[in-house]
Amino acid sequence: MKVETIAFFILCLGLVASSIAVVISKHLLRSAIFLALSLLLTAIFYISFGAELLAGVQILLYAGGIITLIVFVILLTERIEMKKLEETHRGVIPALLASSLVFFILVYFTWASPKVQSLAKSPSSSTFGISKTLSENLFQEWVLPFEVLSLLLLAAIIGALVLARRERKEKEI
Amino acid sequence: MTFAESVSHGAILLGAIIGVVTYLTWVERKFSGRLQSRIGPYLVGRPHGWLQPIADALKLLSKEDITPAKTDRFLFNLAPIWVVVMSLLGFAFLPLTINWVLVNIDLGLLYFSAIGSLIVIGVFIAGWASNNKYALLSALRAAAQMVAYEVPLLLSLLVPAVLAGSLNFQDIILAQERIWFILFPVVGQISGITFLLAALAEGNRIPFDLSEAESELVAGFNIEYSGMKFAYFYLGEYVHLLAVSILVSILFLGGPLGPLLSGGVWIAFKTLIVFLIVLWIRWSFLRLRIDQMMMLNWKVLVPLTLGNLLLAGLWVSLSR
Repeated sequence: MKVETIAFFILCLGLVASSIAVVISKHLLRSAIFLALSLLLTAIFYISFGAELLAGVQILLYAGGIITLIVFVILLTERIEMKKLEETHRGVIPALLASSLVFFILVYFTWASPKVQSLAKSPSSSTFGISKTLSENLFQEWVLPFEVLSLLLLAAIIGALVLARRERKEKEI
Repeated sequence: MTFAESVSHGAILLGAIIGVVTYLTWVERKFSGRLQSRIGPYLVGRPHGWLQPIADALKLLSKEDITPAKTDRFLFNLAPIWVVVMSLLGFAFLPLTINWVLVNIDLGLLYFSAIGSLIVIGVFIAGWASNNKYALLSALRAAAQMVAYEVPLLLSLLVPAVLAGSLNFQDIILAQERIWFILFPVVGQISGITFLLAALAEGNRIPFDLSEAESELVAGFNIEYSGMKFAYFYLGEYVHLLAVSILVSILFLGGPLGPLLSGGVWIAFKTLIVFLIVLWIRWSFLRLRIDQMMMLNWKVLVPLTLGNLLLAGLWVSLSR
């Protein structure tokens, strides 16, 4: 076997193990750390498929930004020291059904659709993840939708701020 | 590079970094001693205590490893490893001469800063898992500081990238053949100075070492750690500092470019200069208060770097 194949399977195992650990871990902070780990491993997957920009953004935004935020929130809210989480796995069977359905849909479309197959066979030749083509698409061809979207996001942030502030005032009264 | 080659290169780089960092502690002690009219380490290994770092390392290795009773063991042990690994990973993307770089990708700068932003999680875990109020307070401070200063850090990092028109370190170096970016009128100086300041704050160094603050928080988020685990945090801090020094020399001082001598010598020389400037700042200034620090960040550095980035963009688009 080639080194790449072995590395790929180790990666897969690590990703699956860390994702399961996110769900079954009984401590919030541990779950967050495992989530960070699985996001990092996903980034490595992206690199191995040639989507370098996507991987970099994944590390910077998700692992660096969002996980830090999550950890912040956990530390600021969970005041009870080191308390274990209660078991909340009540809907195991529906969850299993739903996730296996998604799994089969994904597998079906990867195998059935010729377009996906051709993409999967030559991941390095696809130009999607390369920063130059991406930025040319984003900032030249689609610059107007891009800016409109950023405005929309800004509006959403301001809206969230306004909503959060109003709630607090009502509570104080 | 083949797999075996890249593994061996990585091992060599790792060993070199550890060795250099060990001796950087000696440089720091000697330099700070001279700044304060002392001699610094002298007795272990005459002349001038050149065996002191080895002695320190041996001492740290042979110390008892204490894990306090009510800690979260898994996270407590994970934190130092996380900090060291994330500090060291950034080196994979830093070119040490024009051609010698472990992982040469178009997005080197992006990857470097992405991995640098992960260090804060380790600090956080350390403070939480120690189950100690001082450690937790310090970790919260450190995290708030690191997250806040990430903004001007990235904004000032982008200026050399904009001027060079690339996120690849080699392109950035080659773009400085005509003029170093620190000598670039106005834009270069502002981004260079703000980058150094933000990097100091990110690495929790004086005058921004609020997370340590011996007089208020005893020693910071690593208070419960002893022996080799404490050494890991120390190592992580110095590795990060070394990476920042190399980064400044690459982004603003032309990195390996220079007459006569080879690239490696030049980059080492420039890195040493930057490192000494950092030490000079450390041993000359007092610690800021937390509100002063946040004010400096949000009211001064962020608008300054944002405007500076705009200026750099204007310059590039007009001169094209």
